[in-house]
Amino acid sequence: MTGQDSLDRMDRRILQLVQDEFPLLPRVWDAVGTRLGIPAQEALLRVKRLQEKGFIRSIAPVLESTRITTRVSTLVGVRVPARSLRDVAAIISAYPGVSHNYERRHEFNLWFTLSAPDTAALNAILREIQGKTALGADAFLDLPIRRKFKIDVRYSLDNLRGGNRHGCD
Amino acid sequence: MDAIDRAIVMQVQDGIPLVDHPFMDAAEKIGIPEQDLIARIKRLRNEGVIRRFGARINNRRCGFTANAMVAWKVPEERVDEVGRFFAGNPVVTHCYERKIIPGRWEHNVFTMVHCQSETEVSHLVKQLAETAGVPDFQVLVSGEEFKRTVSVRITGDTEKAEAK
Repeated sequence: MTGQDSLDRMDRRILQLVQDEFPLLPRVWDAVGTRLGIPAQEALLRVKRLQEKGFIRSIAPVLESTRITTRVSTLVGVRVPARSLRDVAAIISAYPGVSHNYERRHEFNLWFTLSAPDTAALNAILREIQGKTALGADAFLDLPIRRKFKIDVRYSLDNLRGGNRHGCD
Repeated sequence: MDAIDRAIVMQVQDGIPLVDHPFMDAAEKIGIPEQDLIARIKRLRNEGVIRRFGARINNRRCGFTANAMVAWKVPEERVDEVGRFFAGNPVVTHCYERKIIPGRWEHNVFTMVHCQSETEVSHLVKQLAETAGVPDFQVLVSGEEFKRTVSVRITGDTEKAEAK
């Protein structure tokens, strides 16, 4: 590796491999190392470092929600005055059913995903959030899914440009 | 999914340990042979309970700092065709049709795209819009990340642990 927070070419190849084709085998690091032409121990060390440095969040199964739970969910857009964005975001993030909460550059400038055991519970939380934030119902867009076309959160990593090597976050 | 399947998922859903033999380690914690654990993970993947098994990447950290939600206004009769087209692009990680709120929000197809610069986002969205023939769209570039957790996971008290 070339430095504390940068990715060298081998790092990028490892990221791509462990994202797309993580081997489900007893001797995983042997398999990863063989694929990349490096010793197993180096493969493991690099992956550990990539996770410690925050490039990899985890190596884990990505579960299909409909097979795991019957919870219902929605995406909510909120129009928040800029000065109270952080306060409103904190109120919303405090709910355990909120999994994602992002500022977005738009008239509706805060967007979060909310899940709950059923629709009644979901609506109750939404009403509670509307009350706590005192923004009024017309500041909220409740946009549940009608149809899923794709969820596949993978990135093309082995041709990343060099300019972002310092982890721009 | 039986009890052992659920135990396996709960054991590894937050990440396998980065040790010499991660699957052996997980299997020992549950009390089953490593080969059984691996075989069950493969079976769950083939059955679609596990969509994929691998690294979750921190996109912002890796240089994908220009992330955007794009909302498209697609005529009802074209949703299927356009949704499939967007889904086919590898830069699109999520593609959904969502309910509209007439008069307040009528952009019904949502995509997430991840690029290394906002210029790239603009080019990509323009290209998608032209190719799909959907001129009415809104780009909502991601700003601060206030919360981000894994939304799909098994918890000990999951209301209904198995949908099937």
